[in-house]
Amino acid sequence: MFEYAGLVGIDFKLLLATIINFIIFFLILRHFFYQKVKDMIVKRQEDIAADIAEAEHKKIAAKTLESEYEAKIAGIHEEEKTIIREANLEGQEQRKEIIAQAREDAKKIMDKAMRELSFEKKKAMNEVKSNIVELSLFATEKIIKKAVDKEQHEVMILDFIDKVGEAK
Amino acid sequence: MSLVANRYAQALFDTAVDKKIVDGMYDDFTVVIDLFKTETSLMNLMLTPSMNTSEKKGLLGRIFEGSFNQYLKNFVNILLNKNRFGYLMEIYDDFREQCLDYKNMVEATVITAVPLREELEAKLKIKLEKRFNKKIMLNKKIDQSILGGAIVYVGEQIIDGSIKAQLNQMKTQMNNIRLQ
Repeated sequence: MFEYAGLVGIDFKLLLATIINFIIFFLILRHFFYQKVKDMIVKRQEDIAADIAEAEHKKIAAKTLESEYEAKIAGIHEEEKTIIREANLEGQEQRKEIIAQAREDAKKIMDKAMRELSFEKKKAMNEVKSNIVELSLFATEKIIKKAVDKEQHEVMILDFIDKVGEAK
Repeated sequence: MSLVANRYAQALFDTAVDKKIVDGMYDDFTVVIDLFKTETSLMNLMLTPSMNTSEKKGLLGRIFEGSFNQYLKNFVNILLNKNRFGYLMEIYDDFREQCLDYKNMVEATVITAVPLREELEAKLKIKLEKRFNKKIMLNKKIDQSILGGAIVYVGEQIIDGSIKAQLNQMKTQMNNIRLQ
């Protein structure tokens, strides 16, 4: 029982020595490193403050830029709408022009086709007429050759002779 | 008509007038020309360079022996000497025109589809003489393609009273009708 009590008992001397050691160690540390650590901490605080200030500044700048960009985007949207509107209008104008041109072209083609058709029709009719005339005259010649006898020939010659005397 | 032919024709005509043998000269010259027109080989022989002039003269002398006009014979010999025989037909045409003009005559040709009776020919001649105020020397031709009526050529004038011409006129009029 006492053995166990000795293992967990407090050694005041050792405790005192440890405290003194600690104090000495603390003093040494304080003497050599306190100011430096303090400076370092101050500097670090300043850096952090500067960083925070810069961050704030950047944040403000970013906000400004954001506002500007938002304004620009809004402008761009407006411009985009204007362009689309103009493009639509232009497109409609072009559509109208193309349709009008197409109608005009179609009319011209139609007119030309009608003229050609009319010409071909007239040509064909005149060809038929010429053929009819040719055939009629051919038939007439044949009939005259067969039907006209010598007496009728002489009558025609006599008629010619009379006309020769009349005309000058 | 060439100038050469015209000069030779004029010389022959002047001689004929001077010697008062226009009709005789014309008739003889016409016989000569008819001969050369029908006998083309004789004409070719007269134009061939391989036969000399004296041989050509001898040949012509034998052909035109007898009653042929001496001036005409001499004239043909001159053409041979001057190497102008090739102009013979042209000279004749010019000479004939001068003779007809001298006699106040004009040559006419009538074309009919059937033979022209003498009575009608005489009538036509009278009408033409009255119209042109000249004596008409009428040649007759038959051409059935004119179908009927007659065509008369007088110099450069044409009087066309043929059925063929009337049909052609009708054809032109009918062809001129434009169909719509």
